[in-house]
Amino acid sequence: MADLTRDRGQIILLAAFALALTFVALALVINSAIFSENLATRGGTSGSGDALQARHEVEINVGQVIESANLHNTSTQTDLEEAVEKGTLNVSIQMERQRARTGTLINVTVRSSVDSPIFGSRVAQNESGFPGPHFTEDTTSSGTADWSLVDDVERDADGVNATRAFRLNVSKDDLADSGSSPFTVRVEEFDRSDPSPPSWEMGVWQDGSGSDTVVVEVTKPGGSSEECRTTVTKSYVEIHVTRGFVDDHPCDALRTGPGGTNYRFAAGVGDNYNITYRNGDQARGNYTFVTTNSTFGTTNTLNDGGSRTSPYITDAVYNVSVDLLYDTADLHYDTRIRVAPGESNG
Amino acid sequence: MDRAVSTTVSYVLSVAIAAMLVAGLLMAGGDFVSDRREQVVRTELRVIGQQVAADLGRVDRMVEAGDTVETARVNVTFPERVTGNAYTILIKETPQSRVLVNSSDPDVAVEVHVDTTTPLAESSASGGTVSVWYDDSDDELEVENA
Repeated sequence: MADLTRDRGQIILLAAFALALTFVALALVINSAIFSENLATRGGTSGSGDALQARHEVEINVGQVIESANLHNTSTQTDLEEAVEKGTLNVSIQMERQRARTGTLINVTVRSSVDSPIFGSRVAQNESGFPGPHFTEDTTSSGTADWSLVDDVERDADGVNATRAFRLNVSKDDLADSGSSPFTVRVEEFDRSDPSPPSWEMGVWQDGSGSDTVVVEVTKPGGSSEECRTTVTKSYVEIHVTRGFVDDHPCDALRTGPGGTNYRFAAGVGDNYNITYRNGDQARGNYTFVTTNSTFGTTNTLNDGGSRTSPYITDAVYNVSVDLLYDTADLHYDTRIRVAPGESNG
Repeated sequence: MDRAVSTTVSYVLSVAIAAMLVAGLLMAGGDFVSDRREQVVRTELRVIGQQVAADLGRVDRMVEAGDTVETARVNVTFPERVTGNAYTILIKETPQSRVLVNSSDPDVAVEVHVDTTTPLAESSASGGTVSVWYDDSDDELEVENA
C-alpha cells in the first residue's frame, strides 16, 4: 500500500492561505469605507461663514464711521474724507486684532476713486427739548408751512437711491388730528415747465386727538395709496422713511414701490426731484436726511451748517466703497463693499 | 480486502473533489471582495462629489454677497486615491449643472447636482488638494488642483 500518512491536506492548506489573503483584502476595503464615512461627517472649510460675517461687520462699522464723520467733521470735503479714512483704519485694525487669534488676516481700506467717496449734503433740524420746533421754514408756528427743502436732487436713473437716512422724530400730540391736511413730505419731479409733475407723498397724522394710533399714508406716483397704522405709547414717534420703519415696526407702505416691487426712495418720480414739506406747522420735532447733491437749484433757504441753527445744511459723505481682504489658510476673499447707511433696501 | 479499487484513482478523485470545492470557495470570496470594493468606491466618490458641490455653493454665496468680488477661493484637501485608485472631479454645465466624479478601475461614475447663481465653467481636477475659485474675468466658478 502507498504511504499516504505524511502529505495529507496540501490543497486545504493552500485554500486556507488564499482565503486569508482574501479576508485581508476585504479588511482594507472596509477600512477605506470607514474613512470615507468619516470624511463625510467633517464640516466644510472653516472660515467661509466667518468671511460673510466679516463682510457684514465691515458694512455696519464703516456705516457708523460715515455717520460720525457727517456729524462732527463737516467743515470741508477734505476733512470728511480724512475722517472716513481714519475711522476705517481703526475698524480695520480692530477687526485684524480680533481675528488674528484664530489665524485669519483681515484688511479694510477705503477706495479712492471717482465713485468713492461720493459727497453730498446733510439737512437737519436738530434741537433739544420737547416737543421741539415746528417743521416750517423758520421753525416757528407761523412760518411758511409749505416750503421746499432741497431742489434738483439728481440721480443716475429713476430706480437708484439719491437720498438716505431720512429720519423724522415728531411729537405725537402735536400732529394733525385727522388726514384732511396733515404734515406731508412731498417729493416731486424737478421740472418747472410741468404744472403737475409726478409726485410721491407721505402724510403723518394722529388718529384723533389724544389717540395712540399714528397713521402714515403714502401716495405713490400714479395715485395709489397705502397706509400703515402703528400704536405708539411714547409721547414721540420715530419714522425712518428710507428704511421703512415707524417706531421700530416695519411699515409696508414705505417698503413697496409703485409696481409692488422693492422700494427705492421716491421711485417713479423721475431722475431729478425736489423734497418739499406741506403743512409744516402740523408737526413738531427733529428731522434729518442725506442726499447726493452738494449744490441745489433755486430755492435753498436752509441755514449754513457752520452755525448749526435749525434747519441747516452741511457737506456730508453720501457713500463710500471699501475693499475687504479676508485670508485664512484655506480661503481667500477679496471683495468691494458699497456702504451707504440708512438707504432703502440697503 | 478491497476489490477493483486502485489507491491512485481514489487519491486523484479525493484531490480533485477537494480542489473543486476550494476553487469554488475562492471564486465566491474573490467576487464578494470585489463587489464590496465597488460599493465602497461608489460611496467615497459620492462623498467627495457632495463636498465639492457644497464648496461650490459656499464660493457662490461669497460671490453673491459682495458688490464686486475680485477673488474668492476655497482650498479643500481630499484623499489622493480611493481604495487605491486615482479619480477625477469634473464640473459640467450641460444639460444641467452637476459635479461628476469618476474612477477608472473599478469603472464607477457618480453625479451630484448643483444649483448656483453664478454660472459654472467646465473644468476638472484630480484627487488631492482641490481649489474651488471664482474667475473674475469670466464671472464663473471653476475647479482646479491647488
